[in-house]
Amino acid sequence: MRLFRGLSASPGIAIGQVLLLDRRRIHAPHYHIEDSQTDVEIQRLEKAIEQSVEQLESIRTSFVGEGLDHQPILEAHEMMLKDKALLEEASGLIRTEKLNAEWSVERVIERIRKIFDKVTDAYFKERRGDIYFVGERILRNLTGKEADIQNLEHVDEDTIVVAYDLSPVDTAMLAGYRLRAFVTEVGTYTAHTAIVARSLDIPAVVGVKGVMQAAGQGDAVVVDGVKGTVLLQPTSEELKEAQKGLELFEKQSLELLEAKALPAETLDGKRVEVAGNIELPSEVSSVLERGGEAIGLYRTEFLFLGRQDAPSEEEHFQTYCKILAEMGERKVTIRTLDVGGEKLFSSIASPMEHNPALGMRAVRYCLSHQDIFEAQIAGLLRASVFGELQIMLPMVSCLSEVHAVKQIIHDVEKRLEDEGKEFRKNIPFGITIEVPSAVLLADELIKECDFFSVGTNDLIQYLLAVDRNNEWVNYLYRPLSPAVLKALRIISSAAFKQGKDVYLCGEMAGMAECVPFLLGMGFDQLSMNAGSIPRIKRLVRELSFAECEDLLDSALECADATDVELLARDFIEAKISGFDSYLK
Amino acid sequence: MDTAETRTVKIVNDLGLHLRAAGVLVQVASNYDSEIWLEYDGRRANGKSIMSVLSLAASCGAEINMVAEGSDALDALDALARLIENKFQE
Repeated sequence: MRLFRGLSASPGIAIGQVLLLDRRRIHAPHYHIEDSQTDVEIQRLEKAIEQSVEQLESIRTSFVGEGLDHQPILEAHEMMLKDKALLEEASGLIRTEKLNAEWSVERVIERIRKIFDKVTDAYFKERRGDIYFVGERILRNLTGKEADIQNLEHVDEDTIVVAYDLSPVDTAMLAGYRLRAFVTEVGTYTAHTAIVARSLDIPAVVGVKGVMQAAGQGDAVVVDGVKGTVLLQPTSEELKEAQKGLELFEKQSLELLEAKALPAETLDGKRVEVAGNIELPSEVSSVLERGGEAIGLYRTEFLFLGRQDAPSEEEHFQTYCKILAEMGERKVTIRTLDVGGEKLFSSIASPMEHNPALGMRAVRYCLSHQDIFEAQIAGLLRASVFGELQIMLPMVSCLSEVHAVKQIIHDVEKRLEDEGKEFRKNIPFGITIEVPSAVLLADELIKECDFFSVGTNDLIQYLLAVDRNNEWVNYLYRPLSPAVLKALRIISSAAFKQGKDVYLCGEMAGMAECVPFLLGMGFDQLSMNAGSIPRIKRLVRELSFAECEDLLDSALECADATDVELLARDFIEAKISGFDSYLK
Repeated sequence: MDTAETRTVKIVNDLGLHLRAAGVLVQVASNYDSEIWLEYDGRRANGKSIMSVLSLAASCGAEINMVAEGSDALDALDALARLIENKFQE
């Protein structure tokens, strides 16, 4: 089989060469060795550890650009590999229990991880992820499996990464290279890899079952991030066809870009602000280049990832200043730390929290680690004089969390005053609505806020009880479920009643079939990845607000997501028949 | 015959014995011939092993009992106590 279908996670067409990255967990053999083999087995282990250290050194020194942020974590992994106690304990097991090297390493890693399981401190619990990475690398070298690092040296301009799955750290590491596309066997539209691909503006197709098996290292491949297809070993005819598609896509993207400066205003004069979601300060320029009118979501997690200690107030301040200054008079909504779940690199380890999505993350984490949170708040407040800052708090589930955070902001303001540091008073404060309880409490919560921003990715997960990264149930993850629309209606009505703004910053904002409903609902701002901004602006200009309102009314009468989806498709096709399929 | 020297120190840096701090501590401990142990919360860690030190999960405010055994035990304890008091040169 050469043609594979998956989910289009980031639009665009790429022609290039396969780089296979196998990040599946190693299944190492377990067996007992003969007495006479003991020394040889220990030597094997020593050599594997040595190789692992060399690999980490070489990848660490090859980091460029954004990849540099991830250096400290690799240095720490190197230190763990060089830990003599690890080698001594494993050698001891080889000598006394006659375990083979792989088995002995697994036993030691397992023992250490069990100690961490009992630890209650969240930071130290996360270190299990590091232990896992270190053990995994030794096992790869013992079993002769290629470690990812060696591949990274072979990254060319036409490299298309094909992987089973990529952890947030893998993806962040890869972001430092100029790749042409991502293909993964698992994952969904909202997986981390997909989000990063869209922010890098390269195509991605995820959930492509069986592609690892079929693809060979260096194979020619065509990735169509619009149709969601991956074609291995294309014929010369197929290559020509792909080349044509690529040119058409680029031409149309260019046309859209040319119209980017036009406002997103419907035919009957309703304006909506189209904003960009960013993860890195360097992405501000790509939002502006594509006609973004604001930053609707700056995820600050990348400030916290891949490092050993929490960022200082000064680091926060410097980072936010840069973004605010670059955006000038345009609004910048900065979300405080939303750590936890898939976003934490160490979550690759088996979770100690049985249910991290419902666990210690975001505002909960911040309220229990106030020193880390206060540094962020202080950095935000001080940066506020450089632009139009809005502060947003993620994952609020009840009113008392809002009160607690406002008290912290108040305390930090006092401290800054005492220190004679400058900041703006009354910075607009809002919350991300993503927990169902917050939807039902919207009338109460909005009184404490200047705005709401709906984080639809998580809201849909929590509302429908569907893990969007679980390929067995993600067919139930449907943004156009009537339940989702009803929740959005409750949220927006609560805001309008109090004369407050309501934004939407999930992936839904960049999905053409969802936009008419969001317009009809009256959202003040739609915030999306930079790549979607030009086509969503253009789409809005093709629609009529009055018709969107009617469409929404019909949708709210629907009993099932399928009915709403059909409604949306018919509506879009009738409205934008001139729109090329690539741009939908 | 070397005797074991002990000393109790309080962790005062915000993040406790986190990755970087544990790394620095292990590097310093490794400069001494003595065996070095850290005890906290009923656990005992090898002061020359980063994984072992990390597994103490000693956060800010933790009182650590340090044990050193060897010819340079007192020097080792002095150096480690200084390091911890100086918040690992952060």
